[in-house]
Amino acid sequence: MIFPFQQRLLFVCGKGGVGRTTISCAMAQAYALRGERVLLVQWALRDSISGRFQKPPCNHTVQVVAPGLETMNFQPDEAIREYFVDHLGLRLLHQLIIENKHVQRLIHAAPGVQELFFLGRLFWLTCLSLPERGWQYDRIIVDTPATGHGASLFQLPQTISQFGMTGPLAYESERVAKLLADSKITGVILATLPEELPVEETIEFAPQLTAALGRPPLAFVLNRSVREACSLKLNEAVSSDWFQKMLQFIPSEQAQVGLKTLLGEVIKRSDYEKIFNERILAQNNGLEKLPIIALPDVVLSQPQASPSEIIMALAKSFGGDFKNV
Amino acid sequence: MFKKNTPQESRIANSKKLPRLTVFLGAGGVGKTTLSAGYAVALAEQGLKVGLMSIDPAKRLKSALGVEELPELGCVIQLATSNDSHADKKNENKSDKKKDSDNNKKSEGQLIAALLLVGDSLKRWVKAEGLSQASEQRLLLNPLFRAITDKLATATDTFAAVRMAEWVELHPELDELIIDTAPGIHAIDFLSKPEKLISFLDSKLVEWLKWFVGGQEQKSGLWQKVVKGGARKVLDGLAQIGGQGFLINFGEFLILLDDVFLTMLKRLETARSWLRNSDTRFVLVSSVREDTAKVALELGESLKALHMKARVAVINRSFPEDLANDAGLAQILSSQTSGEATFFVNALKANIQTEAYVKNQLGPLSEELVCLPLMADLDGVQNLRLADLGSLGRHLIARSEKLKA
Repeated sequence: MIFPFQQRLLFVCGKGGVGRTTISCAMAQAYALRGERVLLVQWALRDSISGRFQKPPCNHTVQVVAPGLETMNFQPDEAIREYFVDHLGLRLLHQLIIENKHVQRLIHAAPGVQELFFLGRLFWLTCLSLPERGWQYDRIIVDTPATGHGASLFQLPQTISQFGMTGPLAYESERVAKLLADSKITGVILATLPEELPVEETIEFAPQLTAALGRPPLAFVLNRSVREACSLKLNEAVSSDWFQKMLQFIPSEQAQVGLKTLLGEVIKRSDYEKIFNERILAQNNGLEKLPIIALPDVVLSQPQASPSEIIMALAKSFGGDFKNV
Repeated sequence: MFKKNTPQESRIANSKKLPRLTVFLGAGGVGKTTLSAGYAVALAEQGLKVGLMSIDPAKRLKSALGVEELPELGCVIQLATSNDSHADKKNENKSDKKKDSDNNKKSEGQLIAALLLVGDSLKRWVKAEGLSQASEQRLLLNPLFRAITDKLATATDTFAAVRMAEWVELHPELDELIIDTAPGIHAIDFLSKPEKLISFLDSKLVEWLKWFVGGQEQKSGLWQKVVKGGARKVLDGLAQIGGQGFLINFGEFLILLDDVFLTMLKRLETARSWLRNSDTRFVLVSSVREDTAKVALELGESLKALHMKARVAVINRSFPEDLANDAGLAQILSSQTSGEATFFVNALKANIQTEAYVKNQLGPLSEELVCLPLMADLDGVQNLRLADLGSLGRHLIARSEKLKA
């Protein structure tokens, strides 16, 4: 049984455009269906999760979007305030130093500062909310910011440890490093898509992620799989009776080229899923042992499904035993 | 500490004719990198001198450009092609092809492509300032410098604009510069960082930190100002948060990079006005997916907030037009199906519905909305070739008024 993962803090990583947010939502929903209290953390210009549950956008303050499922959109300035004022109890320092306009300019220009507070907030949510506030989430799913930024996020505490820092920030980055290094608490899922570039990029990215993290991800999650819907090869599909019948409706050659191209788009996904599976199996760096969870393209079977229905369908395809269904 | 340009200097900088700038923005996976490369190839084939700065191109794209790796400093891309593109065979007539091959022989056009790799750029800029060997050694050992050049991916967004402005100095002959940006909201960092970085480098904190670490000759005079300005308090506060050791590393970093930052500031000024230049075009790229349309929407709004405007929105790999306009399509969509045929019809319906949504969202966002339909032979499993890129670029140009050369 691949799912559920035991780690409480789960990062969903992957190159842009592979459906990281959809996968994060589905996984968070799957844990919520098991009766857990789940927080889904995003860090985006604007909240792109609440809308999928027919809720207004939220910001740094959490919002309940479904039974057992809450979401928040990380805001660096808020997190910095929480850290100094609420956690360290240094209201005056925050007011005089952090809010000083010159220091603010530094915070907004220096690379890495906002990322450190992002990880710091996740540490607080994972490890400190219980001792400090008396409550905690059973599961925290992170829709990890895109691209190469993803892997460098995990190296950040290590990088910062070389800056010669002492005091609270050094302590903060040390404990964040420990949290990320703890394979019992923290896990990473690598999202991908059965298309040419995402497959290529995921195979390039996985070893980088493994190096940054010091261990491989827990699993690959392949979004928009058509494996269950269609396993035909393109020439088989084109010569099938049903497709030939469709072509008769559109006698013009250009229109037929268009329809074949669209068919190819769907079929290619099943080809690339096979290619991805084969290429992962052919690795000998440990990645070949990782499970690949394929999530179906729900639209193919339920074209009218709303975003929350799609999430629910995907959550169920993670498998496992759901108490609240 | 950093000298502002005198009014005269900035007038000189502004009067110099800048290449026209085209910036491609959009969510990950929408085809920005390929599209920007295609556009650059097509412009160069029309006889223009074109620069292309690419972020993270896939192997397939690099091999189409005829290189193993794109160098940080850029290299000339060989434009002459021996093969015709797959797409051209069907989509363009013979006279076009003839014109192209003529172009390749006689054309004055040139394409210089570079990879955005700010770590390497920074190291190069340090060398260019001619620091003493001892200073350069100290800088290379400075943990902040090492982090920025090697480890911090977000440094890319911070310094990309500086690298962009450097093109004008390296290649004053350019007619066009095409920029491919990081996916999603990171692109906004690229657009807004010039402002933020200038503001930081100009801030008192930089002076204070440098004073804190050394600069003996400045100490006595500055001390007075520093005390008055409450700087001591801020520095003590920062030391309390991050430790004195960190402040020393940071101050040393700022002092050693002083000359580099000075040049950087000038380039940032260029970048800032270049991005605001009325000739500059922002191209928002989306695919036929709701999430990529939402990202395009966010980017469009962020552009507005920065007083920049999207000229063109492109829906990449949109529904084939000949099929969309065929009356028979409705019959296909309403026909009784089972099994795989049903899945395919559902996929078509979802595609049409999503495209309508994306068009609705993107329409009001820019001055021009361009649909670039799926091309049968371009997205195949076979190798992408330079000719395919050129063909893609020409399709884009043919469909857009704003992107004409």
